[in-house]
Amino acid sequence: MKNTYYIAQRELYAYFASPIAYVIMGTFLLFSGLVFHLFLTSGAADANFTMRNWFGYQNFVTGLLVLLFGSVLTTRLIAEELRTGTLELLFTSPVRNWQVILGKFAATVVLYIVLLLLTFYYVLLLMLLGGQFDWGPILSGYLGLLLLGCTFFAVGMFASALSESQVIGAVIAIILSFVIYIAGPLLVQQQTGAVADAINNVSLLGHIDNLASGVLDLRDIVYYISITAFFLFVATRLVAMRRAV
Amino acid sequence: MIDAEHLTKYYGRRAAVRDVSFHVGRGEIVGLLGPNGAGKTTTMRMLTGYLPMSSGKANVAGFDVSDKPMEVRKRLGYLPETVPLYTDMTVRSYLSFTAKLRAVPPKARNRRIEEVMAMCRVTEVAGRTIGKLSRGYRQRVGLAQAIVHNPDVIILDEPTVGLDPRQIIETRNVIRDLAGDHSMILSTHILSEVNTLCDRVIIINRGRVLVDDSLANLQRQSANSSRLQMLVRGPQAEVEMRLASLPGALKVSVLEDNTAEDGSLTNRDGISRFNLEADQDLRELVAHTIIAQGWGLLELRNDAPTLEDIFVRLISSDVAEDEDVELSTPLMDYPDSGGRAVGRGRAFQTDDDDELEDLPDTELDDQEADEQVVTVAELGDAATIAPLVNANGKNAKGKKVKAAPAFLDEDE
Repeated sequence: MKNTYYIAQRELYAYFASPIAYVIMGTFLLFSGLVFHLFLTSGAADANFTMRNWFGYQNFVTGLLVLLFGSVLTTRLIAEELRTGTLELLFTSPVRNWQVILGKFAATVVLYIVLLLLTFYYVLLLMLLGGQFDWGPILSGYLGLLLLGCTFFAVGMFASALSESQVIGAVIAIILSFVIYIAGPLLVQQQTGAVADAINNVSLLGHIDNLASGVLDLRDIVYYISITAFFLFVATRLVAMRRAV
Repeated sequence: MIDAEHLTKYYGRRAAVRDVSFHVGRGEIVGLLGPNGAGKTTTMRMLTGYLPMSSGKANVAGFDVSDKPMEVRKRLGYLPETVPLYTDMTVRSYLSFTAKLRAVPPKARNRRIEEVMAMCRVTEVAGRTIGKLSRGYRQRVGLAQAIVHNPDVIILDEPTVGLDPRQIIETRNVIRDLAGDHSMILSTHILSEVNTLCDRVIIINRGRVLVDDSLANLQRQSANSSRLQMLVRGPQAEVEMRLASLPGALKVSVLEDNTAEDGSLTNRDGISRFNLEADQDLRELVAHTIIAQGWGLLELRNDAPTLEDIFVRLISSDVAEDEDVELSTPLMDYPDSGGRAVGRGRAFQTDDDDELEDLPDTELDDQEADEQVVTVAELGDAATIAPLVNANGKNAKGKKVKAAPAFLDEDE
């Protein structure tokens, strides 16, 4: 566990040592602010309603921003170490492969939590404007975005382990994340029935509505965690395999 | 401390390392010598556990590399060929990170970091970002991370490649200081490095061990024939005849250029330089004969074979043998580089353009100048292998070594 912590610590250091993290976070906040503004000014001026929409209830706008944020942020994590050879340092140190992957993942999650905290000013702003909040949905909404982000990070790390090129990694991450996020629901729009339900259920998008509207369903949480764990596991295997060649 | 038994590594169908076995005792420094692409890096990576082996066994610091990789890693310091540095970190924070990973106790950590920085002579750049350091410093920071946890076994893959002569000397001094309790394997294709640093040498070519012996032994064994060089004042033809008639003399030749090395003597005084090959040491007899004839003996020197001679001869004969082997075993698929003298490639490549750009403008100016010397200096050193083989063009049996450059292929 200590090793995971050390890896995460170093990775956070790397995030903040370069301007990339700041630029990506700034860009996210800019577009996220725009989205917030749109929901705020569209019709019903209710604080809970605005935040629920921003969390992604029945829409995929914020989720798409998180997708891009996660893909771009994580693409460096493994690809760069493959390219510079520092992975050889880690894998000849008494550290297990999963500790390396988990440490890097944890650092990204910490960065993301910082980002989510920065968006909390939307809530404060609404309160300042006289909004009355029902706090349950706010917390579950943030939890939903956090879990959704985690899946994108895991997919991004998997893609990052595929290639030494960060650009290729990012492209793969974006396409793959997009597919498991909304490709299914886009295909079966407005349709009902068992097949449509099934497709909606396996997509990431299909699980955000409950959380965004304050319904804590264990199934949604388990679903996100499972997808995250799966891709982290595959990334770990992939990195181990890459050593053999 | 290191036991390699029948290490074999296949990349696809190509054997990069075949049946390599050797032993390194406590406190021993062993040089792994071979041309580029011989399998040095692959062998070392298998020992560190970084590369899984196709077959064979390795025991490092008392633990099996495959069964107990974590125990091995705790006791192993490794400097890969590409120095694994996080260029965004400062030297101190990088060493602190590696010390934490290697479980250096928190209380001892800072002291130990200061210690290794002093040992590797990087203390003066402790607070600088690694990306801004010159190659020599980077290499020594890499060395510092390899020893920060005071490992039993140290494996260094081409620790001096790409350094300028001054940096090479400094890095070698650091390595020499490390000897003692640590067992060390260092790979190189620079022969003089083995001479100055190692107790023993393992020469490997095309993935196989050709020689595993102490340097002294190696030189002694190869000296079963003697080669004398002398500078004699006297009638050239007569001296030549006289020398040829000595018992045991095999071949006498007159060297065209008889200028003494210090340039003080020239052809003018009837002085000639002779080369005498014999199956025994004829120094006394030669001296006696020449003096007895009333000629002048200005110089008499035994040309003991250098490590370079031995190396080139071994490798050349290995290549010749392999020509036959390859015909009968198509399974071993070697990359044939044709006429490319890739062996020199690595020396050329050491010039790193990025680095020059990375250097900050003012205080590093003379280091920048040094960096540019690197290519030339390295060339002189590292390139010795390729031209020697190519220039000879023949192996010991006088057979033309057609495939000479093939073993120099870089593909490892």
